[in-house]
Amino acid sequence: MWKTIIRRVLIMIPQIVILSALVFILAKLMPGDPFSGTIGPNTDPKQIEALKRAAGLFDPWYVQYWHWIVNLFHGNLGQSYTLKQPVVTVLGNRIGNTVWLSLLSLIVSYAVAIPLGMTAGRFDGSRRDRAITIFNYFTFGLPTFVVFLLGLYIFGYQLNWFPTSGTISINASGFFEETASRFYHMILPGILAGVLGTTSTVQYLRSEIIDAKSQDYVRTARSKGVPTNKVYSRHIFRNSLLPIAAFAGFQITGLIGGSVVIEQVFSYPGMGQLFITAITSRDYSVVTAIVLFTGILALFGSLLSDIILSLVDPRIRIE
Amino acid sequence: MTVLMEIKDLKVHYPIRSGFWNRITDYVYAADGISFTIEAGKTYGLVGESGSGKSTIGKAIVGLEKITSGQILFNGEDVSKPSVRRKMKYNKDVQMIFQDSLSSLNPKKTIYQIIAEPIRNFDKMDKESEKQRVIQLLDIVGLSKNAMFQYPHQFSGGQRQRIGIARAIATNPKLIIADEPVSALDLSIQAQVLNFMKRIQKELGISFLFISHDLGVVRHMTKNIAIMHLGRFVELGTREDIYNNPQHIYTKRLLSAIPQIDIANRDANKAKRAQVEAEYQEKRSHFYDQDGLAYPMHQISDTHWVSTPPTNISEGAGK
Amino acid sequence: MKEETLLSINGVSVAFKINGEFYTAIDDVSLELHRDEVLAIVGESGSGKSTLATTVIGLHNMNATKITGEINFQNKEILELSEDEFNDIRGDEMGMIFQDPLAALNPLIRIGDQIKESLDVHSDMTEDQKQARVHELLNQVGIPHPERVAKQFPHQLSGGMRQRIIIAIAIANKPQLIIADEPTTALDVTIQAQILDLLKDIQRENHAGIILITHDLGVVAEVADTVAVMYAGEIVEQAPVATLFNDAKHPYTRSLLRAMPTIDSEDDELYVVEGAVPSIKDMDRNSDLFAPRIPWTKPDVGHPVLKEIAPNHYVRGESWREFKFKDEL
Repeated sequence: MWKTIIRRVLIMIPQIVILSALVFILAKLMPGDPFSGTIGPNTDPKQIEALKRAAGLFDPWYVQYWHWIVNLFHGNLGQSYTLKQPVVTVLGNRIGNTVWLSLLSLIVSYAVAIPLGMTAGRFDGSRRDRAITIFNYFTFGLPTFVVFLLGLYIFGYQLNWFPTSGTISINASGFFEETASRFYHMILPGILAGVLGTTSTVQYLRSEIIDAKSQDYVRTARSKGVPTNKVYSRHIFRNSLLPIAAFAGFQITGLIGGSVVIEQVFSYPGMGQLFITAITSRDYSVVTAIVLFTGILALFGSLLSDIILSLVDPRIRIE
Repeated sequence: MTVLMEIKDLKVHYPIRSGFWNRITDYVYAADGISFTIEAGKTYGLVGESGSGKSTIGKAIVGLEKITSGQILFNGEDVSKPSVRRKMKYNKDVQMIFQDSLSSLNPKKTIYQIIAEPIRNFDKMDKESEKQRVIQLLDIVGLSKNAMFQYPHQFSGGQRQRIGIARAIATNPKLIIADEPVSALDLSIQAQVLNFMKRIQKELGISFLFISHDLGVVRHMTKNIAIMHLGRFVELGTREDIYNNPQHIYTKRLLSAIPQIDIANRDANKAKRAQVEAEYQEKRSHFYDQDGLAYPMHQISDTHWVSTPPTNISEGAGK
Repeated sequence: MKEETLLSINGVSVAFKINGEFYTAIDDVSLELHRDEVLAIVGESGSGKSTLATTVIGLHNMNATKITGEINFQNKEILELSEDEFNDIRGDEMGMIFQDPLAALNPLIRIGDQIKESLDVHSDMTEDQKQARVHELLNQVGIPHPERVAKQFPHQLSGGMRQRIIIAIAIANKPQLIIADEPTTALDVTIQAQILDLLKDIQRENHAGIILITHDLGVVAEVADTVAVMYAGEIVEQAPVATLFNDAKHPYTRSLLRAMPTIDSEDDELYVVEGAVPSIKDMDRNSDLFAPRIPWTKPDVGHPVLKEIAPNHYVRGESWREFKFKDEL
């Protein structure tokens, strides 16, 4: 099994190289360069050219690409044009926020979706199943920003249960208090995003279970005299959860992509919000860095999925 | 007698990849040094258990399997290369009938489209004569012309197998490879399909290579039979040679395993089967080389060939 | 010993709900099975033979199935049992062997654990005893290296090996009744012979009764003691095995026997039964259901009944007395 995993990790190397090349090309196609923000209108054009030459902007593309890669490995992603800070610093402040929020909403999403999917699948056609299907229509059909805004209005402004913006209260001090405050700020967006993210899991799990119920191995289990509850827990749920578990890696990247809307609505300073700000202010070096980061994250997500699958499915684990 | 096809030392080896770099470490000898001749208008049976390589040979003949080495001569021309096959419209003359009639017929196409497809590929016909030909073919296999506008799933297993036959004979082929064409069918339907195949074979003078694990069906359908085990022929002869005078221990074992409708002698048959099995286990190492493969065949009569261990050659040749 | 009745099925009918309406799949079937007996139930797809087996072991989805009649198994009326009561019998006093050995095993659970599950439910052995019993069972069904195989997963075994595992599961608690639904259909002939021998050996050991569901008359001839032939959900003929093969009466039984390729049929056309088995929605239960397939014979009026025409030989209707094949007319 370790061989499979190591081989799978090695496959990622060319994938990352291709991704970095694509991002590099994208960056080159964008207007502006590292000096765009620092040069005033009165600077001598000759001086600009000399600066650009010194920075290697007239080198052949492969030399530039090489320098870019070397810088990348040194953690140098360039300078944010608008914030006048290194891109790495800008991202570093935000990544944590987004990752924690995404993780919370992923946990909420599974905590809600798995019991619902199991109930709907086990008792398909019953009233409970129909109620869950209606719930599913809502999570699927309601526009996310409407739900977020509504949630913010009701629970934030009207009921005052949760903070309405930011990641931490300015009054928080000390590790425990800060952590608690960060968590408190995440709860509302995390739950809302989590609940809205249940649709596909509920639907998928439900149909997996209905499918598994009529499998021959379930009939075999019943022919052994295994009580119904145990048939479900040992044979049906376990086998139906397998594709869900395998999909978890992809879910993580999807949630980070989805954080754009929620961070915007909740004024939550994460990557999604940064991405929007960077695009509107044409802060290309930040945009490029986020694209690269998200791309790498997607690759890791699929790696994670493959590893989970190879851990839980003996047909893959044992070759 | 005109020789239609000559297969010379046909080998199909599949690579086994293993180790960290997925290098080819060994081969599966699916077909290993197979030679035989098919004469025009005659029927041949190829018998073996699952994994014997019998289907591989069928697929190699129609060009669905890449051959490792050896020759397939059709009317004197080597057709082992795809370019040669295309040029001489080989598959107009050599067609295949598959075991699983549902998955071998495109579910989205009407019966008309399915049967007309080979006609369009190989024969230039105007719309009207194409339609007449399809009706004629449906009539040959005993289906009404209304079937033309229906889809495969609307037919029973036996009817679908007949549609498969209509498609196979659409281009007036000279050789049909039938790979387990009746093993998924009920007895009364099997009888119907076998009768059809036999009648068509006789009326149209088509050569048949009938691949099956069912010795009863093969005996009914073919006059010349090859017994295959682990990628090699172990015995080749006429129906009488194989059934009345089997020489190889594997042939004897296969024949003794066929259920007998002989209730009075049930126990005697069972004892005999046990005896043959014991003999097979005992002499196995003698009849197969150190790699577990059968030895080359030697001729013991005008029609009868048997795989013989080296020490038996002089004795065998004297018969 | 032989005369001890193990299972008696009395007037059992089964109907399935399809789009809100019930359709009869099995109509008024009565059968008896004794200890040490192999009762073969023969028929083509759609004959209801598998439905009957599923009814005996109680695996129908009861939301969409209506069962009437009585099934008495070891002095218990099993159709009246609750789900929990039935679970005590299933896998303990009766075991079932299924057709497709790959699909019938859970791909995610080790072989040993799948066999052990039967013991978990029904026995109060210690873990060590269960482990030992699993190895003993694997040994009994002819699997080499039981300790190693017990730790493997289904996909690591061949078809013949998997079928042995299915048998090991079914016999784990030494059942009195074994229901085998096409146990050898997916297997090669040499393996088929081994599996049939194995079943016979197991039966001898426990004095069990076997219901063998099959469409293969060769298999029937090799192992059955009594044969019931089913057509369109009803038994059309039932007889001791020798009688059935030597002196079959019902036109359907005779047609099936004649459709088999045999040594004598080498160059002849095989006999073909005209038409097809009616679908469950088109069965007119008030008529002679096989009559449309032998249109040259005068059908029975109304619904023909099963009659004992000689000791232990039952045939449905009267039309068989007149029946001749077309070429015998």
